[in-house]
Amino acid sequence: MIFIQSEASNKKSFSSVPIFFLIYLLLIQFLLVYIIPTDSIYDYRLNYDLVKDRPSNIDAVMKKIKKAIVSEGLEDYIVILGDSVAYSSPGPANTSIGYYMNILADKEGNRLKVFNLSMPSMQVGDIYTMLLKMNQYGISNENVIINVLYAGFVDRTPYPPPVFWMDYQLKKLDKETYIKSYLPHSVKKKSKFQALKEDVSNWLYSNVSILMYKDYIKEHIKNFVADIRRVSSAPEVIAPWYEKPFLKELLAEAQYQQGFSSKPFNMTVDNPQVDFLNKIFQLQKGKNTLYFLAAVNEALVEDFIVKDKYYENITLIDNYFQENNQHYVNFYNRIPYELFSDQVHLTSKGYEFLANELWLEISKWNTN
Amino acid sequence: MLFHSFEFLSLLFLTFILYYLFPKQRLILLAVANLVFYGVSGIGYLFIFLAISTISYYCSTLFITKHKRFYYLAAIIINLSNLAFFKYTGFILRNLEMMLKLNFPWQDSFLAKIILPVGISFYTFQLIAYIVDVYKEDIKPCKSLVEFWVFIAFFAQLIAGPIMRGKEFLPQIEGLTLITYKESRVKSGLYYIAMGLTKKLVFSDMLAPRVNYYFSLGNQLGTLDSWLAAYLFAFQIYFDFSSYSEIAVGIGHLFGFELAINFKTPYLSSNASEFWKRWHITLSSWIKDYIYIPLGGSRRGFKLQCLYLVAAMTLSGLWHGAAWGFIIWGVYHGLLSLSHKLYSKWLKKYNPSFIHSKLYKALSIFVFFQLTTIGWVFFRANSLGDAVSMVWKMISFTQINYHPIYIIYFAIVVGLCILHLAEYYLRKNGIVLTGTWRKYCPEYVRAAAYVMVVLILILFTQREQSSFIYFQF
Repeated sequence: MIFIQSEASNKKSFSSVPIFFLIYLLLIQFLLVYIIPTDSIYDYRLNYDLVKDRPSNIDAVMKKIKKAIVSEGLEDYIVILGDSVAYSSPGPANTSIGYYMNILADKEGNRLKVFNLSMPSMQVGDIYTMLLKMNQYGISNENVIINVLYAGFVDRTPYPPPVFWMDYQLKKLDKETYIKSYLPHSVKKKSKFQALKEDVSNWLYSNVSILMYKDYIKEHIKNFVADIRRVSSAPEVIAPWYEKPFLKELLAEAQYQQGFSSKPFNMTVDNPQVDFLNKIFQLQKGKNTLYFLAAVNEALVEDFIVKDKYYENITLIDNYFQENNQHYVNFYNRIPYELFSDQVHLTSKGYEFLANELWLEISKWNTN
Repeated sequence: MLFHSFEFLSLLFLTFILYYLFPKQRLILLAVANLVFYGVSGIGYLFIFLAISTISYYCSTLFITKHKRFYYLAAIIINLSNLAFFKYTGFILRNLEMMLKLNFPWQDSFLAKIILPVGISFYTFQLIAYIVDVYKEDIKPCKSLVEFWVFIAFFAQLIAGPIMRGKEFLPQIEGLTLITYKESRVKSGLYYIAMGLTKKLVFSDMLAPRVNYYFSLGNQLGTLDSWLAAYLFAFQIYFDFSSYSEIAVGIGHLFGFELAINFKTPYLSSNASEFWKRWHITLSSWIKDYIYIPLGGSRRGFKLQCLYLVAAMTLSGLWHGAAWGFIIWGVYHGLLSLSHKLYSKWLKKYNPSFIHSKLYKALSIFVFFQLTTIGWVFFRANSLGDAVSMVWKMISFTQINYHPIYIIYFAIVVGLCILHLAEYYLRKNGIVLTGTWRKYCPEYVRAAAYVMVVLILILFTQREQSSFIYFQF
């Protein structure tokens, strides 16, 4: 019972304002997920800008996808995990592989749905964490497509860390792996107070609805205002790589060169890429999982690679997946060079091509 | 430590709980909270602040001896030297170099690396006020150093005021253990905090990127852009600074303290004299009591009074920062005050009837708001050159590059003015409105309104916390 002293009458009177206040907050906590339009949170892929700036925003995406699965009664669906290639940078959402694969499913009258949870710069540790997060939200990992890159197997210096975005989530979901596999490669050293502060903030943003959806609400309002003001951006046309003369100069920079290193790969568990992939194999045992090695545009990068040694490393990757009996596709020399928009990313047509290829691969799966 | 940071909210929450749980330990608790609050900004600066406070305190206890004047001057000089060293060394050396056309080898020395300790301008003025008041026997010296430390460094107002006086704040600290938890006080504290946070997060932080953009263009701005930039900054600085003061007052209420109100809708002033009774009130009353009146005030004839007025306002400008822009802003306000004095004298002589009309009052407010806005350009511009260029274009209307979009921009400025009027109305009729709100508004509607305020504050909080403008002073 809460009493307040009325200033005018000086009488003790019962006030139910705090009770209503709490009821409203609870309603917001539980109903917000139903109020916010799905495409504000997930539109064929997650909103990179929002998740990049606050990785805990991934929770809103997971919740929304779970809600879609339940409300649509989906039994078979595929989740794509990976970096900017699977995310389909630099084009818009309606030229991403998830979009094209959903169209293919519709065309074939297949009830199968494809969810793309990839994100630029996602590392193998992030993919592992995303699989744990899917489990946390009850999103099935029965059918998963995972994209890997040559650069992921290159020695880390320690940059990029094997868990680039999801360190807090990994810490919560698999502390042992976090300590063993993440901390030694961690770029940022945090004080205990800083870590506590981040933990509290992440917890709040992952559990309190208004905080969880805050950035999405703002984005929705921004888009709504832009619509009213009729500010619309022209559809993006992703130019092919040969129309970008600056790319060669850019690739000559050390940060890009590291990704093409021809130094023989360490394919033992000392390489975090291998260590995390082994963990992913364990998690995905008995499930439909397709791993694909994204191709590199050799016409653009030929000056920067020592071809023989580079291909020796690719053979090591091929062997590694074969030795582990994984469903694996190597896209090197399978994508026409004119479909690249730079050294690894594709044009809209390139992603459509990739989506078709992946669709053919997963047609072997026992999905509807 | 920013008011809307995780660190501060944790400190406030913990201190608030312990404050009411252990009433006898309140003095120690607040002293520790102050140490933590200031210590976060740098241990070195905390030691300097502690040293200056301790020296000031012990000097003030020696005012009863026969060397009273010596200790008084020593305390004042030490405080001013501390402020001058940290705030004005670079400025003085740079200007000496320019004047004498010399190159001092100080650019690589530690002098060039001095960082201004946060809140130094505020705590120096509060210390000086205390020293003068004790010396003049207007107040009794503090009974203990801990009590003095709580008075001088109360974490709610330490960084950006209000500048509290001994006679207002010390009795409250002396009666600390007698303060009881009152729900009405906590409510009013939360009201002030919510109001301050709204001003900061919803208005100031939203205006900041636009203001920064315009002022970064400086002398490239045309007439309309310059006016727009100045208007937007006028509101940004008002929202930013008054928000800090209001949160400070609110936090004071949570602990049962009454801190001074620093702002009373200043852009509704019709002249300079009124403006300084509504804007940063504790600073202007400090300037009046410790500079203008000791200099002579109105006691030595009208001409000297005018001189003192301009001098006091110039010092006020210099207090804000070591840059010519602030000094010119101070001189400008001094001249506005002077003009008002002369104009008032003229009005008194002829007493025209129109000055009593509402239209005249409204016109005066409008004109004075434009004058205040022009002054803000000197305060905010990135260089003196930019300021001169902008002000020239504003007053000469020489570069009007009209575009229909300006209608929307200036409508926003009009909207901000209406908001200012609404704030005035709310403040003036606060008690009646609160009564009506409670009497006629059902509780579930009131609760919904409070939830809306919380939601708006959460939605508007920026990812990167922005500091308060006055932290730099």
